[in-house]
Amino acid sequence: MLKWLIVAALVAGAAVLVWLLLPSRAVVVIPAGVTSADPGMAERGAYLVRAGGCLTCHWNKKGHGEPFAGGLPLKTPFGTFYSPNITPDDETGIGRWSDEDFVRALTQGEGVHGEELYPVFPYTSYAHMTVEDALAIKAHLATLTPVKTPKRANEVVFPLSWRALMKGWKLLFFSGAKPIANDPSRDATWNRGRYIVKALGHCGECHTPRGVLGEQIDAQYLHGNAHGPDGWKVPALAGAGARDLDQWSVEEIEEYLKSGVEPDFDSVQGPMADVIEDGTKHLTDEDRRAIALYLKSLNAR
Amino acid sequence: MRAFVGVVALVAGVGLSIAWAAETEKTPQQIVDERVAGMKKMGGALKAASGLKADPAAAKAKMAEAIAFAETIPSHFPKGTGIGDPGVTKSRALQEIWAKPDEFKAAAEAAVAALKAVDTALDSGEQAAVDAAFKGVGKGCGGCHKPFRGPDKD
Repeated sequence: MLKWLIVAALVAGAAVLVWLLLPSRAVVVIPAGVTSADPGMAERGAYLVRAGGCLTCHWNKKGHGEPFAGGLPLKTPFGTFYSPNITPDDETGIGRWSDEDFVRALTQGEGVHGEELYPVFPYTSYAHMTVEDALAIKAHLATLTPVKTPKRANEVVFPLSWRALMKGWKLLFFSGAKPIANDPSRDATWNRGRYIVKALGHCGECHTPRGVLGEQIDAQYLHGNAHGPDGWKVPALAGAGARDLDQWSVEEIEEYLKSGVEPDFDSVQGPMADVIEDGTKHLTDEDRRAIALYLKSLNAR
Repeated sequence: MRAFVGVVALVAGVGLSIAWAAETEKTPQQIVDERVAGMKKMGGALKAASGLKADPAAAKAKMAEAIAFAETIPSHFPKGTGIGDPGVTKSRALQEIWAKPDEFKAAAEAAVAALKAVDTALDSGEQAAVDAAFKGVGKGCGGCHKPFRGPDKD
């Protein structure tokens, strides 16, 4: 009996191993006739790069790196990750990526060689982005000056250093690319706000608490995270802990996202300072208003 | 009788000095908590003042409240009340405050100047000047917080 159990366990183990090792590509559907080379895409992408907060991680500002050339150390409970170079350099950047490669990385968390990306890259949020927006971002990145900055190797704890294990993580916590559908019961501004907060701005990456495997706890979306980047406490934007935000008016939230000045004239500090400086500060007043209105709606009683 | 008065005076004296000692010998954490409360109160006054555009006199009263506290800021940071100091369990005050006392003092004075600029602008009655001065207040607070305030941690 015991013998058979061991055999069964070995067979199951081998099956899992084969599944993990077997190459697989996520299917990417790009609407017919849409490419990153379409007119106007690069300009649209320049704005979306701000809304998408790309620079916050893909720029080692303190280490005097070039914008978009990566190299920023991101410390997590699972090790230190170094952001990659997303300038269009052929060798060290994304110069040779096809549209499909880019959309697959952004919305399916899969690298150009079929490798699994770690969810420290917010693909679980970007999965909610439209393919058109993803391609516009690629179009803008393609206009940048290529910078040669090789990717620094991540320092990930064993066994997670084995990327293939992320397949299992995805099975548990990721359900594939899923652009947010418009909620017809809400107005366009609210829908736009939700799209920026959930998909582009990936606010939940820092503002939502995470479980033991690093997954965002969806039931506590934007409920704050005591263990944020660089040890900062990330405030709640929704839920019982969002008392502070609750007392801010829509206009005050807009002002904060524009200038980093809080209603009591204290100024933003920590990781959010970069989010504002390199991201939300550059958005239109309409988009900042949409974000503010959406966040307020989460706290409506 | 004289003896009685003497004893009473002695007891009262001892009692008073204990009370005085208790009042002055604050624990480092008490000093931290008091200054945090003071900062919050000042922030509240500023928020109120910025909302009182229609009533400059009331706004000025709130500004006076904020300025009064702002002028005492350096006195709220005695040495030994920062992160890692004995008896300090929760604070965001960086040791740089005491490593660079001149810069700290200058930043605090700049904040006071920024607040006084709002007061002056309120006197002018020009809304644009008031708005511009309030923008300076944000910079004034940041001028001290950015170099001298550490991360918000639990």
